[in-house]
Amino acid sequence: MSSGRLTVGIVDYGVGNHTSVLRCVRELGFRARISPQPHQLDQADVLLLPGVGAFPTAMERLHAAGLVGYLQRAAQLGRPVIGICLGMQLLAESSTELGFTPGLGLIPGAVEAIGDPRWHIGWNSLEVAEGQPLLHPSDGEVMYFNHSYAFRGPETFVAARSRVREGSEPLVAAIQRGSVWGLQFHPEKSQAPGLELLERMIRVRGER
Amino acid sequence: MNTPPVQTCKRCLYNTNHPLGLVLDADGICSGCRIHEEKDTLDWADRWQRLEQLVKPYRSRDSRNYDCIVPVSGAGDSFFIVHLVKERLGLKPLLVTYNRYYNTPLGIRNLAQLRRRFDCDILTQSVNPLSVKKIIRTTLRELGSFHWPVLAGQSVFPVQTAVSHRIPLIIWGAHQGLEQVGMFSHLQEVEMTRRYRKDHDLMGYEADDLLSFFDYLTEADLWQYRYPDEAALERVGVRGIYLGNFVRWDPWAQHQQMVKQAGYASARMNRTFDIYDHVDDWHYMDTHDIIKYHKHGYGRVVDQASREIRHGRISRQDAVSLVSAYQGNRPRHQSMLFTWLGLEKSGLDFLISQLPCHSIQAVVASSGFADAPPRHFFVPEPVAKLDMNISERQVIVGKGYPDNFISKTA
Amino acid sequence: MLRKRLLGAVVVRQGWAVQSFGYRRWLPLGKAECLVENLDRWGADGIVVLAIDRGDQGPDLALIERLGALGLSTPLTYGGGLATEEHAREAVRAGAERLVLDSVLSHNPQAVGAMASAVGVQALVAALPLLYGTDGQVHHLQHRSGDQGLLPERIRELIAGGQLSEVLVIDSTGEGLGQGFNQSLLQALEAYTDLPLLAFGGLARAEQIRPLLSHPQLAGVVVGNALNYREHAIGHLKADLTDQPLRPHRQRCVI
Repeated sequence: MSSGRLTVGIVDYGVGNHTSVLRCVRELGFRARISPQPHQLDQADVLLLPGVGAFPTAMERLHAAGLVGYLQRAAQLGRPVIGICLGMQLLAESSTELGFTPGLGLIPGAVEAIGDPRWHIGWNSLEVAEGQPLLHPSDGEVMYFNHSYAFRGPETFVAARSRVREGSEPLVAAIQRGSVWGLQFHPEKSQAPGLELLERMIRVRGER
Repeated sequence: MNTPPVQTCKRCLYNTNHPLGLVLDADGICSGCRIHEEKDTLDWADRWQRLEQLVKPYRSRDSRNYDCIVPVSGAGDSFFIVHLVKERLGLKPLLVTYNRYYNTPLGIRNLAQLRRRFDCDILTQSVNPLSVKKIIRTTLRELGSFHWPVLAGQSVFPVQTAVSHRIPLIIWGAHQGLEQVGMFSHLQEVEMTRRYRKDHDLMGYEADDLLSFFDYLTEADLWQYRYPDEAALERVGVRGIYLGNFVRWDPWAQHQQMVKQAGYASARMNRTFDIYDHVDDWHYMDTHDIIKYHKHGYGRVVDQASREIRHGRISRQDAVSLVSAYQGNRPRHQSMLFTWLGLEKSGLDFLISQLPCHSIQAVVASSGFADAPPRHFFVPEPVAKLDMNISERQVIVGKGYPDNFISKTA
Repeated sequence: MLRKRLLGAVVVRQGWAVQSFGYRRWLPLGKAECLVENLDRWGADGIVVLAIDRGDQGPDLALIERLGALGLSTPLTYGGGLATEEHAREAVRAGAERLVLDSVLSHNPQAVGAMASAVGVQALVAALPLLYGTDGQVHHLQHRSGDQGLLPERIRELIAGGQLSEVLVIDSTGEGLGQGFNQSLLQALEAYTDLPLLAFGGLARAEQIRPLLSHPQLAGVVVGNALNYREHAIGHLKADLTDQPLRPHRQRCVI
């Protein structure tokens, strides 16, 4: 067992099933633990914020767990944070899902209904933006998406997009600001391409 | 889980406790018997043609490589399979065999006979005995099986060889799931899969899964039993087919043909009327069969008797008498196994006492023991005995055969 | 561009993964965990586990948890016994990404709205076993009772409305036989809904799948029995369908 392995702290705020993310991260060779406790999450090199379900419930649980301030401070301190699916959306300033709810505000932008189509479900290719060396190897790779709300925000924070149909308006697939990253798709459910991306992100971000 | 009460087939001896899964239809006939009926209705000439078409692209155009791999042992259907592959299909096979260690001299003799009679090249894999014994002690304790390494090795060594030698086609005999419980129809032409191996041959435990038993097994003991990765399999195009989907499979008749035509040697074995299937293994029809009986409620003789009922050679009633006589037989070679493994009999007895047999109704209750040939079923006189002396002076199989079964080093 | 999906189905009955033939006959295959893990390794675009004998017992949460513990990197959809909001919540909590609803659509359609609120509309898929009745019309089959008839009003409302995200169209006649999926069933359903459709029942070979993929409303196909007859069945199907808008086949580099 190497003592130099990175540790991933999976933020537990009582929403969703974190087992698949936990197992995935461990299989990639990292140490990982699920915890709602700041002092345990402090020991992690990289924080992972997963999430399924509805935005308002998730924010409510984060507040109840006292984790909103914790995550905001983590971002200020330049600690690596990766939000996945709903976890990415929580990084934004707000969402209009089931009413207006403020988010963590770590990355400027808002989460709104996709509209047409109503849901983005299935496998779709990533179009990585310019100047994104960490994501660039995954440009064109096909990932698994499952969401009905999407991020809308300044270009400068958009790291990758995905397009439902040829010629349709692209949806934001990844966002980034400083040490904070968001992935709209499920890398842990996207088989080899997703696992490779997640491994690279954790390793590179964690080693900084 | 909605499990209904155990039901028994009206035709053969199996019941719905069968470890491979067995279902009965509205007439009380099991899936195994129904699929067996295909053997008497399918156009086997047509199916042979399909086989010819299937192997055609694998015939190598020059003599630089083998056309296929044929996994063999010193018993089972090996002789008949090689006969079909070499003499009827005209393919050039590379034979591969996994050394199970507790080989009978007869098994080693049969393997040598196989190789020479059919003029084939053969590769043998012997995994280091220390690792094998470590694995067996773990699987015996955790899975109630000392046969795991043999099952794992026999099923994976051919696949590893297919990859390393770039020979994509592997030809097996009969598919156990199809033959016993009718898991598939012959028409589905089921092929070898890693999934089936893990699920059924290995009881849900591949090599790396054994590491999860917090034990003294390490990766160094197990890596030889690992399946090749997906990329390697797809690159070579590895494919395993079963002759039983294309040939009317009848082991009893096939063995007799091979005794006559190819010098296969038969012998009387413990706990069964059969003299052909497992002559190469000291413990398969001995301690292994005792464990099987206590685990699943029936011994190997039930498989063999059910097979012969389906082939119309014995009535169900007579088969019941036949089987009940043999299943009571005690093991004969246990001390050999214990010495080799470094086990105490009390350890095995304890393990057997933990097996589920007491809550599983025995398929056929045993009633005494039998040694002489059965009354209800004609069995030819065996050609040899398990411990027959090898008459040739030169034995080119490893270092020969174990010295009086108590190995000094291994 | 969103790809169409090639999904693998694992039908579970009495604790066994089985081959299913027209909802009437079953042949045991083995442990559901082994089949699911195998589909994950093969790179199926998704895995659909259907526990077909749950009746009123609710979802098989123990099974979902065991499957979750496998550490799959493929999306998992579960169906069987889901009848209430609590069932839906628990099934997702146990590890299912999406849920297939069947009997509840007929017996308690009002529950669907609550389930949608609990787990999100995109998690819900409606399963509609269809066949042709003696009147030559497309009938909906309630497999618990065996009753069949024209698609009930309440189900038509559900699939026209906004509480489900996809419809799993099941060719009940062809199911298990590997003789192809009756395309006209898709057309019949397109009259009632513009939800994306998945086709299941009778699919075994690439040439049977190809014509379905050109249906604009079809989002994917589901293959069951036929995936168990050979190694790398998913890879072989995809190799014969490279001209189609499916996710390209890639092996996992990790064992």
